[in-house]
Amino acid sequence: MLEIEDLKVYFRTNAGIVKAVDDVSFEVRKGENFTIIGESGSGKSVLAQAILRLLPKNAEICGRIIFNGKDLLKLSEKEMRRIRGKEIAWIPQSQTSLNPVLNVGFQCAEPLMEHFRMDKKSAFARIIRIFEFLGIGGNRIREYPHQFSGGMRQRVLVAMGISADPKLIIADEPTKGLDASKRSQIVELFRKIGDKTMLIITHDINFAENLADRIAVMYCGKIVEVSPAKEFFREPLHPYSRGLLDSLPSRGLKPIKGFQPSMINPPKGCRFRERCEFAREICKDEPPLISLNGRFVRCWLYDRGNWD
Amino acid sequence: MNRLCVTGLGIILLMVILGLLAPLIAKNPYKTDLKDRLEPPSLKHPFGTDQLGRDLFSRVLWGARTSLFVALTISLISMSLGCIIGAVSGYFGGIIDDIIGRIIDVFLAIPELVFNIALVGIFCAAYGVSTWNVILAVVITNWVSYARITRGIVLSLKEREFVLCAKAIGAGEWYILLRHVIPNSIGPIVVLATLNMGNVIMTIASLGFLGLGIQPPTPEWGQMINAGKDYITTAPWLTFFPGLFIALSVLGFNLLGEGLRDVLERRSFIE
Repeated sequence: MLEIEDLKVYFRTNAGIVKAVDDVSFEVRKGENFTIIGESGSGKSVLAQAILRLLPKNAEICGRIIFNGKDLLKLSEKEMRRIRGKEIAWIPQSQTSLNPVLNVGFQCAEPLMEHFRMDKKSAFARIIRIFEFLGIGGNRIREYPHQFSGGMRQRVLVAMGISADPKLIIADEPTKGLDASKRSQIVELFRKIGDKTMLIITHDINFAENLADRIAVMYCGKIVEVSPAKEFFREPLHPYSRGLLDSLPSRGLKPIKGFQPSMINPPKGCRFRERCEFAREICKDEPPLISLNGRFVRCWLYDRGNWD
Repeated sequence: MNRLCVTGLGIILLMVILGLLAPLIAKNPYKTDLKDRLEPPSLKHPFGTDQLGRDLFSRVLWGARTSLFVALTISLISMSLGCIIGAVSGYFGGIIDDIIGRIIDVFLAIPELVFNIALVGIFCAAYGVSTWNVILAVVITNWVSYARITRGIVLSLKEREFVLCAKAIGAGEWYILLRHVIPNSIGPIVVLATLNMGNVIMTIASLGFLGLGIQPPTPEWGQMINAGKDYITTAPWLTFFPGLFIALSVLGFNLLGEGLRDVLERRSFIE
């Protein structure tokens, strides 16, 4: 459904070129929940916004983003507008993504009025049904964002995302800023809409474990591993994936030593090598993408010919 | 309730009511009576009479109508104009912003009253004497402050997440500007408009005092002070009462504006 090939997103700044997304390729299949995990600043959100072409003008995007056979990077702004909200919906990070002076019903109904020319009355009727389905309460449709709690606001954003029945939903950190009990409610919420094709971006590994069909791990602008979720959590391949899982409280709370390198001048070769316990001389060369029983990993460790 | 707001609103309401009731409680402001000229305040003439024997109380009340109506017209026109120009400039940026920014700088560089006098002069020469000259001239100098404020607010608002969110559902740029961005900037603009009403009333009175504003015999406070200044030692009420009404109405709008600022800015601080 969505294929991303050699996607690069560079920002030109005064300090240099920030390579926020560098040579990323993956595919989201119809009906699956594809989750990208990685720490803050690894380029996940930029990747999500690049797909919808929502990035500011100083971003340079190249590569291919193929959605249902169309390359989104080749569409005009007008054609792109018809994709946004109708074909691909974006569920933004919580809290400030709702307009404080418009009621939530109107904001959720906007995609319907914009893309299907629905009148306000029938759009609102549909939003009431969606609100009730998501457990918000249809009578709250005319309330304003400040009247909602953080968890409820996140539900409203989900309602906005699914209102026009999009083919693909991109959710950017849906559990950001929520406490543990609210997070489990959001997991339930996403299960409810689980039949949709979803691309979820998160740094919340528990959230990913509960929902994902396949997992991609992003580190410093690169995707280092793509695996089916079950296998990923049983046996992560990339040393960074292992470090990420070992840093979870439930698995020993062992932080990865060192810091994520700057994206302005990332180290040549493998970007994780300075923090990696297995690093060798060969890691100074760009590691290949190695296919292993339906999983993909970008690490020399799995290149039998060169490592041993 | 905010005390500043209530006081300011009270003064303004008093002015508006006096202005609206002028036809009922005041006498004919144009009727001269040379036997009764320059009478001091009395029961018959609460504010005294002027050099032509006209009842000053009636003239001051009718003057409230003129001043408030003209000031309101000017504020509404310059607010709409300034907000749209400023919002477009801030939202779309680029070369549009550069051009509008330079135009705003030029307008800000010229002293307002001097500019007004020049404009009224030009319009009088071109179109003849009328109240619209004053309105047009003050609008031309006044929209700038609205444009500058709106541009600043829009610049910060357009980086907010809800604008990105609106883009992500496929909304167009103009729709986002009109439906999402401008409604969010209304608070500070209302504050500015209220504070600005005081300034506009002052400007109208200044132009009237200089003989360039609304022309006699239409009652207008500034022009009444100008007429009364020749008698300031013998009949000080001729300048006192119009001056008092100018001061009160400016005070009213300033208090209300300050009060609104407290209320609205405290709210946006919490958000």
